[in-house]
Amino acid sequence: MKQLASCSITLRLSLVFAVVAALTFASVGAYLYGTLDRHLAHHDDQEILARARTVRQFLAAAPNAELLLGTPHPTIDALFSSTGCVLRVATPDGRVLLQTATPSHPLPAVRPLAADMAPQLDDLNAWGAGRALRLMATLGDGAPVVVGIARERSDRAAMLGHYARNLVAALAAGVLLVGWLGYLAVRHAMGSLRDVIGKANDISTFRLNSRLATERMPSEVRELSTAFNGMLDRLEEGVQRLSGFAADLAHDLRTPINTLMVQAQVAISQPRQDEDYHALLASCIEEYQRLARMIENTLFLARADNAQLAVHLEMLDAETELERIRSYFEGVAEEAGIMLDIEARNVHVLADPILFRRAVNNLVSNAIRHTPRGGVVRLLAEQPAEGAEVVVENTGPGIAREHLPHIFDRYYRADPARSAAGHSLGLGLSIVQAIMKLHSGEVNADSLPGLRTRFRMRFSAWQPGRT
Amino acid sequence: MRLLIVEDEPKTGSYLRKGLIESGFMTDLAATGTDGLHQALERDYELVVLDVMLPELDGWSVLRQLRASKDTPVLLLTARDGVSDRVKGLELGADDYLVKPFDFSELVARIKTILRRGKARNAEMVQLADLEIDVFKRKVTRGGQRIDLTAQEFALLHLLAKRAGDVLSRTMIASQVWDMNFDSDTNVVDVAIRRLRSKVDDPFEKKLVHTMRGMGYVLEERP
Repeated sequence: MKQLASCSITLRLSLVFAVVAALTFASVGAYLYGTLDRHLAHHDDQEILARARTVRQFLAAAPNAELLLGTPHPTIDALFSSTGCVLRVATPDGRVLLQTATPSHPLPAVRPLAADMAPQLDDLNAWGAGRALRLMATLGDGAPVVVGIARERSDRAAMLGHYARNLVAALAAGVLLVGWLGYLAVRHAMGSLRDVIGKANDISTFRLNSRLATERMPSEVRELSTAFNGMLDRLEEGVQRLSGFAADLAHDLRTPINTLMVQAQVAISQPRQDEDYHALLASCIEEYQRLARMIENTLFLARADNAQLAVHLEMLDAETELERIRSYFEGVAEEAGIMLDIEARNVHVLADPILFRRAVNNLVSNAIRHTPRGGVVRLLAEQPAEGAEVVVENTGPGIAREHLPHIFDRYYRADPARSAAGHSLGLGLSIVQAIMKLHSGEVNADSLPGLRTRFRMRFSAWQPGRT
Repeated sequence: MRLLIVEDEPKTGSYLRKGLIESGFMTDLAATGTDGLHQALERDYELVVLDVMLPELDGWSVLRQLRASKDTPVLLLTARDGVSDRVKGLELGADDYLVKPFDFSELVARIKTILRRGKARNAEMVQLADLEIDVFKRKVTRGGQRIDLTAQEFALLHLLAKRAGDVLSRTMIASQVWDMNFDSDTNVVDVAIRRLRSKVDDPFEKKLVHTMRGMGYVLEERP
């Protein structure tokens, strides 16, 4: 069964065609055979009745029993000459007056049909494989005689057997023909599948842009091809994003490494004071820390993508958590002349505490960076019908509409002019998005340019399959 | 106080050894897992700093075989920080786990924490030069003069005072004071230190909070 399942569809369909053809031919053949059999039987029966009538006329013409016994009867002999046909005429007391052949077995001893009754099909009796009829007749002198007529079926059986052999041969030939034609037809139809296979073989990470032409395909294969093209679209996008990400990462690594190289090379080019070396080393450490942070963030995202991060959910009190964040940013906000507001009474969030803090931290630090002096950063937590929402909102110039869909992309640069100085948005918002995905939630941003920017994190009420 | 470092990367090993000696620990260095295990079993070390990725006999095996006969505290160093690695290390009986790259000050602080473990040091009063911190009353005075601090500033000063003389990295401060257990690129800690200084140090002649550039901050009395 397993082997059959792994056979090619062409072979399987051809087999199915052959089996169906065999079944159809066999039932039609059986029907034809049955019909012929019945037809022949009926014909035989009619023949017996006709002979019975002839025999009665012949006997009525015979003057008496003695004459019947003494003379030859060519007409009767001719009538019953075929093999398996027997006629016996006897007196009611059992004296045989005429017998064309010795029957292979005794004729049935049923009550004979009265002489004045015409024999009907119903009056026939089974006689071995054949049929027999027993009836009374009257001789020319009015003496009654018992007539027995029997007909074997051997000739008919031989004919039917011949017919059946022909039928089976034709059937076998038909099955083979259907199987072969089916194979050809399926093979032809599968041609478009082979196209798909050929295309699939052509695809590599460098050549993800080739697509299947679906217009001229049969509908089943078109569905497959459409799905296949869709998969290619997603793969291509993913690969492009990944390679873009790798390029951005490499680009962002260049800046700190260049700083490290140049400052060390400048320092070593001539003798310097101890303080200079000290300052150089301290500056190196700062750059190293920056590199370490980039690696950590990149790893975090890679793990989040591969769902390798364990999420330990707890019911968190939003107000406590946001207060903690506020106290963390208190100093920075005050120095930047920014108010930090919290509105989060009686809201509970089901989240991993460390990831939750990291996400809110990233949003708040981002908000403070983009809020002008005198502005406000508001942290709100709300409990809609299901789950919880945490909003980080800040006053300020906002984000231009064309940038909004991209701000969660890794290393997206909203302001290309600043990229030269290495000021990409970095990974902060991507990490927020990754954290929300880990929580089966989402984060989105909207902005009223010149007025405010708002980030909304939606936490679901429960996460299936997580503890 | 004798420590053993098991680290196969020669540069890292010798710098770790140098740094730990300068931090006041007598330190031995082993370059392979086999040597490290042998030395750790032969001598009584106060603590073993064990790299996980070692050729031949790896850190896990060294730890497992060491634990079979000895309770010497072990601090694992590793470049892999998957959750399962962490759990494995702690299950095998490691006392702490530090992921590369780490701040050297962080390593020293962790070593000191392990060595101090069991010896309660939650003093009610912490004193350094003329700075006095009353932990229970949350009162801070300097030269008898009362200093008003916010809750966060107090927590920060208390942490620095408890670990006076130790350089504390920004990450460690963020984690201990605000429970922010991740590396953030904000300058929150610098700003908090600046504000603490403006109250604790600026009005006074003698400065107690010092910046160790590239490393972190330390509270100590300097001549």
